Order: sequence, then structure tokens, then C-alpha cells
Amino acid sequence: MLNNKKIRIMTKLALYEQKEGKEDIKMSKYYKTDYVRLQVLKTVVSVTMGYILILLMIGMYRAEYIISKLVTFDFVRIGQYVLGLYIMIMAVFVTGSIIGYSLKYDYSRKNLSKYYKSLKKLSSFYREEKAKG
Amino acid sequence: MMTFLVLRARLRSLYQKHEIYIDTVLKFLIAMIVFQIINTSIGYDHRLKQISVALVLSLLSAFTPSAILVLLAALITIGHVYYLSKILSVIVIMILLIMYCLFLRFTPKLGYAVVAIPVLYFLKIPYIIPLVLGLFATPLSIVPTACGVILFYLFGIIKEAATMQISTSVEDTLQLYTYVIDSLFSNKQLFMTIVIFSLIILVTYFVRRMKFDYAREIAVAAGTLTCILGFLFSDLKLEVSEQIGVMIAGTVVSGILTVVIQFFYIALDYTGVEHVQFEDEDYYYYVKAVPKINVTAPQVNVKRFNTQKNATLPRDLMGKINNEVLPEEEEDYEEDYEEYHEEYQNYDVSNKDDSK
Repeated sequence: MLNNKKIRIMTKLALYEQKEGKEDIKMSKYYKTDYVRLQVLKTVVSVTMGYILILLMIGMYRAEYIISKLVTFDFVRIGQYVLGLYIMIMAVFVTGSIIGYSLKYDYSRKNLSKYYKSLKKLSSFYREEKAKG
Repeated sequence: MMTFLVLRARLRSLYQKHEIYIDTVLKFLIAMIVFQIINTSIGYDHRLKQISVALVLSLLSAFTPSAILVLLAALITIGHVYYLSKILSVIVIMILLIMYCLFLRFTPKLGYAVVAIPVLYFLKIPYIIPLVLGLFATPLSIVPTACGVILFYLFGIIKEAATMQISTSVEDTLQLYTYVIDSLFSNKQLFMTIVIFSLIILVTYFVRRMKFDYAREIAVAAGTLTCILGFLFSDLKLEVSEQIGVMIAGTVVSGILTVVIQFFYIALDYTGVEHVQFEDEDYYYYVKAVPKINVTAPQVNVKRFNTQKNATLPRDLMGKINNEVLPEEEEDYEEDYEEYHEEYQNYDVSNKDDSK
């Protein structure tokens, strides 16, 4: 026999799983700290890449100047400057992504709690069916 | 107003019936427009410029998520620039990569704004993007908008650079490179545009968050005004006054289009018919879920037959009896539906008992 109430709940669950819940469910496999840490790691990698590219562009832009002064450059000083800027940019991005991704995780938890509520309802259907025999 | 509401309801039911086809055709048309505009504005490579290529790519993006369209547009653009000069294409790729690594990967859902701004600049109505984003997104959307503006000006510079003598010697290559970077960073119009677009997004966003009637419509008006004043100021300051007429006309058109989008958005947002499949131990289910919500406009007066009866109900339940959905409960609507149904029935029964 078809159970309309059960179908309704199952449809709701399937809709959530296939649409907006897809990412939430993926995120629910991580602890919050693990999730945030992974995202921060990704951010670090991509920001480093971006920074290297920017350095490369600046280097190309100043190519003539750099080549002409190559011998007299104070490389330690330039290295300190580049590294300091890198650390500053990184600090901004890392703080931003920690806050951003924590908020995102909390938000997904909120949605998931609704999903779990429906799941519980569904399992109670099964319990009832079992009790009936 | 009533005719508009009826039109909206009709459009909604039409959309509901043929959602799959309408979506695909719309996506195809948008992709076609995007590729055509890219081809006419910087179509240097005649192989990529062929209509068959644009057709195939549009077809491809009609059936895939919108991110693919963004990617394809970027690839086509790079292809065209590569045909013109290798060093220019390297610059474009590097700037795109930097944008992606530092900014765009944090707002993946708004990637289309980056493509939309250069394309809409071609149609003279780029102002619609900050208005719409301020209305529907968060201030974070400033990031993709700024990237879009930068790309538009970058392609303007590349078009200029294309007219220069290009040879393959190292010196000329470097010269070309410094020319592009110089003109990009000394372009005051670019920075003014970014500032003004950000302002439009912020103004529109904060006004629409305020709690008064017609907040969204007023937000569009405020955004439009910000846009006109901002660009008036910057155009006069930078002495490019010949653009003012086009700018004002474009802004007004953008404002009107935004109001139209906002009017139909509420109707179309919740109307998607969903198809889902699942199974339990006895059956396979192929369910077509048609949303039932009827969003009535707040202006419509609903006659209450029994005020006494309604007065005893909590406010949110009252709304449901009159079949109006308050914006904040639209999401919860489905979940509450069952409980409400039972409650309401119980309520009816008890009321009848009272009258006896």
C-alpha cells in the first residue's frame, strides 16, 4: 500500500538532497575545525599562487630596471620586503576565510537540522510499520 | 497594477508547465548573445568567429551549469587575443588567474557577474548588474563586479594595443606589456567606475534591508540616483562629458529593467517544478513536485468573513487562512504545512462544537 504521508516526507528529503542540501551534506562529513582548516589550507595555496603571479607581473614590468641593477641589488632587503607583504596579505585572507567558512558551516548546520528532523519522522514511520507487523 | 499581477500569474503558470524547455532556450539565447558580443568586439581569430562555433558552444552551455558558460567565454576571449598576440594573451591569462586565486574563488555563485558586466557594457546598460546584485545578493558581490569592470577596461586597452605595430622581438614585447599595465593602472575612469558600482551595491542593499513599504522599489530608485550622480561627478571631473547622455539613458533603462526583474523574480523563484526519484523497499518513486504556494501581492485586500474567529488565531496562522505568505515564512511554509493542516482541521471541529 502506498503511504502518502511517507511519500511526502521522502519527496521533501530527496529534493533537499538533490538541490541545496548537496553541499550541506558534503560539509556534514567534517567536524567544524577540520572543515575550516581544509578551506584555510586551500585559501593559502591559492593566495600564494596569486601572489607569485603578481610578483611575476611586477618583475616583468620592471624587467629592464632589474636587469640593469642586478649586480648592485640588496637581495636580503628585497626578500624581507616581499616576505613581509606576503605575510600581511596572508593574514588578512586567512582571518577572512576562517570567519567566512565558520559562518558557512554554522549556516549549513541549521539547514541540516531541518533535514534530520524529517529523517527522524521517516524513521518513525518505519517503526510504526514494524509495530503493525 | 491588477493587470500586471494577472500577467505575472499567467507567466508563472506558463513557466511552471514548460520550465525545462524555457530554461534551456533562455540559456541558449543568453550564451548566443554573449558569444556574438565577444566575436564582434574582439573577434580577431576568424576560425573562432564562425557562426557554427558560436552555435555549438551556445548549445553546450544551454545544457550545462552557468559556470561552464563563464569558462567558455573566458576561453574564447583568450583564443581571440592569442591570435592577435601571444604576449597579450599571457597578460589576460595572468590577470584572470590572479583574479580567480585572490578573489573569485570566494564567490563562486556570482561568477556570471564577471562576464555580464563587459557584455552589458557593450549594450550600454552595465548599471543593471550592481542594481540587481544590491537587490538580491550581499555586499560581497562588490568583488566580482569590480573584476568585471577591470576586465572590460582591460579589453578596451587590448583593442587599442592591437592597432600598435606588433613584432616578435623581445624589446617590443616588453614595451607592449608595459603599455597595457601602464594604461590599466593609470586609468582613472576604471577606478571611479569600481567605486561607483560598489556604492550602488551598498546603497541598494542597505535601503532594501530597511523595514518600510516598497523598500525594494525605493532601493532601486536610490541605486539609480547614486549611479547617475556618481557618474555625472566622475565624467565631469575626468572631462569625458560626451558620455553623459548615454550614461543617463542607460541608467534609467537599467533601473526600469531592474524593477521588472524584481517584479517577476518573486513569482518565478518558487515556481520550479521538481522531478525527483527515490525508492524504498517496496516501490520506486518518480515524483513530480509542483509547488502550491500562492504569493499574493501585499496590496491585495482580503475580505475576512468572520473577524472574531480570526482574531483568536495567532498572526502567522491568520495569514495562512487568507492564503497569503509572509516573506519570512516562505521557506518554512512547506514544513509547517502539515502541522497547520492538522491544527486547522482540529480548530474547525472545535469551533463547530462551540456553535452547537
